[in-house]
Amino acid sequence: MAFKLTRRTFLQSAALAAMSAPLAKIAYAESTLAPAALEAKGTFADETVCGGICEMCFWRCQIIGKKRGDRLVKLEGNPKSIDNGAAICARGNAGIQMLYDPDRLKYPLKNTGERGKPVWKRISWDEAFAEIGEKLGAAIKKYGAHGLCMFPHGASAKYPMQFFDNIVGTPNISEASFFQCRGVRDTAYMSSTSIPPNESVDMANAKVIFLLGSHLGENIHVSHIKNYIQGLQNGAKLIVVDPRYSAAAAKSDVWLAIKPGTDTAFLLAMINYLIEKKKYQADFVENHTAGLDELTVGVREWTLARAAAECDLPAEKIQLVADMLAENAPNVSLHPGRHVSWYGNDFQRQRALACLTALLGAYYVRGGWCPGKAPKVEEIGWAKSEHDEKFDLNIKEDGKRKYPFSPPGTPTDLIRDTAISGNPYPIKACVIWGQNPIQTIPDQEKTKNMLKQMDFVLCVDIQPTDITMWADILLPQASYLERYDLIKTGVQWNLADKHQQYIAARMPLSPPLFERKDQVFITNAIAKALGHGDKIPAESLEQLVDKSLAAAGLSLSQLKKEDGIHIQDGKDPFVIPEDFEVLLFNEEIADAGFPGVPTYIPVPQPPPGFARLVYGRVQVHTFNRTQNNAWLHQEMPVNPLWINDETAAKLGLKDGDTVGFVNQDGVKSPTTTIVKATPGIRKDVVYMAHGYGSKNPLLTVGVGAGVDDTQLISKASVDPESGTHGMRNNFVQLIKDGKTLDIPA
Amino acid sequence: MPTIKMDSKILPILYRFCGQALRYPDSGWPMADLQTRFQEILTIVKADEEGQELSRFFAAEKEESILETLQIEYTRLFINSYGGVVAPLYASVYIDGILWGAFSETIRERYLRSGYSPDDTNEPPDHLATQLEFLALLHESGRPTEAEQFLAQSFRPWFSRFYQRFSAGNPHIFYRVLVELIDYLTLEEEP
Amino acid sequence: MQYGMIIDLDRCVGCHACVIACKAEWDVPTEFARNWVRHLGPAKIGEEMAMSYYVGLCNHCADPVCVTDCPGEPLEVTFSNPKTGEKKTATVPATWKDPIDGTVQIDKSRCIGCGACIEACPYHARYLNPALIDAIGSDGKADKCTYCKPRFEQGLPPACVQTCITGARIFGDLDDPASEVAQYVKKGAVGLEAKGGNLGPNSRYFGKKKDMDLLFSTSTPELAGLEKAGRRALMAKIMQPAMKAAGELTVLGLVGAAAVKALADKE
Repeated sequence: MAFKLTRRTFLQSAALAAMSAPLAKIAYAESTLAPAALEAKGTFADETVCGGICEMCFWRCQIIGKKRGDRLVKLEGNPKSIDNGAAICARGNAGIQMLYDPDRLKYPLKNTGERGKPVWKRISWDEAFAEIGEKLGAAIKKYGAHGLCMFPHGASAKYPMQFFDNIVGTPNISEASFFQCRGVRDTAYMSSTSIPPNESVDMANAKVIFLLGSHLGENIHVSHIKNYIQGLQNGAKLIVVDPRYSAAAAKSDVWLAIKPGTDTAFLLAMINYLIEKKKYQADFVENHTAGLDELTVGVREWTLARAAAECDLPAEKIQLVADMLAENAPNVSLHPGRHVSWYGNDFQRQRALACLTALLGAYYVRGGWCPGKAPKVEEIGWAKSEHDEKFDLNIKEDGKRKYPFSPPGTPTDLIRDTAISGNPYPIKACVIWGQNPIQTIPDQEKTKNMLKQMDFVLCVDIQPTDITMWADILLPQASYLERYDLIKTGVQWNLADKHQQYIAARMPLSPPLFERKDQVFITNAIAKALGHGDKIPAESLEQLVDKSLAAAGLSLSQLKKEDGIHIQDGKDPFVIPEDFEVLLFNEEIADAGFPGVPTYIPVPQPPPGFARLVYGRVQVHTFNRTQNNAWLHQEMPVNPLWINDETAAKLGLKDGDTVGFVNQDGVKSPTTTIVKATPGIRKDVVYMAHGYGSKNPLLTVGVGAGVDDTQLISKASVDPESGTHGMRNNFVQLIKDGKTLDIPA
Repeated sequence: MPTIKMDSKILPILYRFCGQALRYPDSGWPMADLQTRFQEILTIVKADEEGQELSRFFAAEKEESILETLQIEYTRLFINSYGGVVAPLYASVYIDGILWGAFSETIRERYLRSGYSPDDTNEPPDHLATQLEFLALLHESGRPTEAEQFLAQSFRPWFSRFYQRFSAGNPHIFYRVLVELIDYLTLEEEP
Repeated sequence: MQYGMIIDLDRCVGCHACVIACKAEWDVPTEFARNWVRHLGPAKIGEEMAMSYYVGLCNHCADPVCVTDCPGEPLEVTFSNPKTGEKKTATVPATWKDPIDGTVQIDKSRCIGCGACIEACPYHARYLNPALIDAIGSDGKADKCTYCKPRFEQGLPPACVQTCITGARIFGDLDDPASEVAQYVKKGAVGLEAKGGNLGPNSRYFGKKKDMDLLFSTSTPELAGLEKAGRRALMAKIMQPAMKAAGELTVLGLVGAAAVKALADKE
């Protein structure tokens, strides 16, 4: 630009001493950038703030902050914790970068452009609530409460989810943690043991640890990993069943590189072998199971030889594993898994795992499956109400449930398909709270088509994830470091240690920056805008937490006095409830038209020239949520493609080569990643970490880094019992220098 | 080391003026006054082309749509934008690559040493407008040397990077003029 | 007394908590690090499959090659043993091996950022921190792991040790036979000695044979080209009087240092 006048003249100040040495001498006589700044101070002398609970992932380690002035400089594990202790993982440590990420959402935004290609305008909270009230109100008035759907995730979404579920009254809520992750595990175990299993295996005191496709060691949940490593240190034998030489496999005594999708056959063969050879825990089976006869008949066909052929494993290895488990029963940890929505045959596999655990008598024993006895706090929230079943998409015309063993909420595709077709009714408003459905739900085009036909889309998040590009109104939420929140309860990390319980509530380590608000503030204002102000259960998040704590005889002020964590005496967990029973045969499942004993259902195989795409995790990321974290990005900037080294050699690929992908439906990856050629993966599989390749340019660190595996998962295999999404029946070819490479068989 | 002595009365007023113009434009914003002052300033510095461009913008649209245009542009330039935010208004973004980094702390300590403390704990202390206000305060309290020192050691190192990113982001004429003016008022002039 | 660190690969899960905690504790710029985790394999070690981690940091070597050529202004420093009260005085340049606790340290205020020590370290454990600038070092200052000396002097564990989720990092006095680190050495924990070198690294590794084989076969460094480091140090030494003079001439150290650098570049 041309300012054609010197500033001096402009300021009408003729007396300007140009480059005056004496003046400079005065100006710089005292250096204010003190030399002390050269040596970093360290954080140990800084002020400590207690009461944090981490949410870089969902394990919820208890943390403290180190504060210098108003700035939080470091996060550490709360030394008082009997769960994670003073330790936290890389992501926990990098929470500082999340808090101060310049790309994070700061003010309410209104999309003045189109969905998917937003043009943002900052608006006030009042304007935002007025608009939400008007648009959501109009949709509910026109289409009914069921004309609204919700995709929530995480601690901050619980309160609003209850509001939309109980008060607004929509049944159309789908949580990724259920329908794309662990829901099928929970319902399969509930159909077997009546209890969702979580990951309650006492690995620290096990003689054998059995992991089926687990990402332990790549999925870092601190106290769980402590438990696992303690078990290995104590001499537990580790069995890992995985087509890939995973971080867990690297520590294993036995690694079985199973053919993907055949896990159930493998489990059934072990069940059959244990029954045939009478190597099961007879007392436990007699006292705590039902349906052994049906199970015996149901698995009879699964000889070791047949499973060996199906699973592409040596029969003697399967026998070896079965014997290791039998010989060390009942002190064996058969891990129930966490993300288990794999192939669309997952309900039966998880049932098989639960039944095998029963044959080994490994419930409520040292080293087996055993939940610690955690203290109880009350759940304060919106008043409960019943839905009109008429609008429940999971209920068929004959009154039966389409997916009888669905986790709570509505299976994702029932919502998406209904919204797109308008049949049986229109779904025209969408609330997305803390979830990024673009990267959690397979078939991204379907999600986009669902959103395109909406009258109104509201997103609430801490950062501009890919889904937020589709919002009409985008609200900035206070992160876990800036708000009060959920109460975490539990027991000491090693069940063999002195029995203790703890209660910790999330308390802010920093005030919310900019105009970020917490979920109670936002939900209450929406409630008022929709005319439900009279039903508000708590005026603030702080009050909500305080009320919940009161049930346990605690308060926030008391917790603060106790450095953020209340610890009390615990109870012996190794006591089996008298009425505990595992249904080896489940009549209810049979009546619903599904196999009542665990059954293997084969999965689709890759077409010639393709390999199966499986995905997993890396130690430094929680899927897509942490991709924009500069520190974590620095550690693992892309998600390398694992490919068998012999296959790679045949394709002329070497480590570090750049490749893209095309899948069985012709979906191409818009970005590329690098090759990691290794003998540690089967030839019929390629692997990459999930969560990379963000599309939203607002995420200036994570955008376009690596490949988004979810985009390549255009085919969702819906599990028939649960309605959850199996995502590992997708197949890819590689693209190198514009050429598509056939992957040899 | 080139340095300058500036009119101690008009300069702080200009700093404060620019600081105000950097606030998010809402309905309470002194739009008409801002427009007039900017036009006058552009006339004095003989930036005729820019003056014409600015007056064309203000003449072409209704007040409401002028405001909305500026709001969208402000959001795009300084807050969040599809395509990547152009240039956040916080110093430590350019020095530490993060909001409220160590450099924010350095800036805050500078305020404290001169006897000022940021009163909003929800906002990092190193916002451009806050720094301009600090410069104004230093001049108003008869400490031009301290202001010069702050400019050279703290302000210019980050502002020049901000300025580059901002200029590369195809900014709207209103913000172009504003940032240009700030640059002009804080730049060390060649002797 | 010789402080050392053990990395127990059997416990390590490669989670990088150590790297990030160090970054936060010591204001390490995002693109640099005082310690690192590299993922090794899966690869065949003989007939076995192996995958492990190179968990690296400064080795605080018994005979460090990084301190010998430092052209930093020598200074008489008194070192003391907090346990025994023993004192030792030595004249040291800007980087040295502590005669009491055996750690290798840097005095940033005397470091001129010449890069000789960075060049000399075969482990690449040092880097030039561009955020640290003053009159005598306008390109930045050498920075590296201190074993968290300011923390251990307060009785605190190093930041990486405190945050290690599985207890895979163990810190202590290798000369004290009762210490856990000494016990590990007895069990066979070894340092990653550079090829043909005799540096005596005091950060040591312990693990299954196949994991140790993988680590040593992939991560054993060559000795650095010490001539190059020496030349760099020598050059800096020659420039030093000019730099000092310039420093006295100008009140603005930055300009002075830049001028000297320009002069050096010309030559």
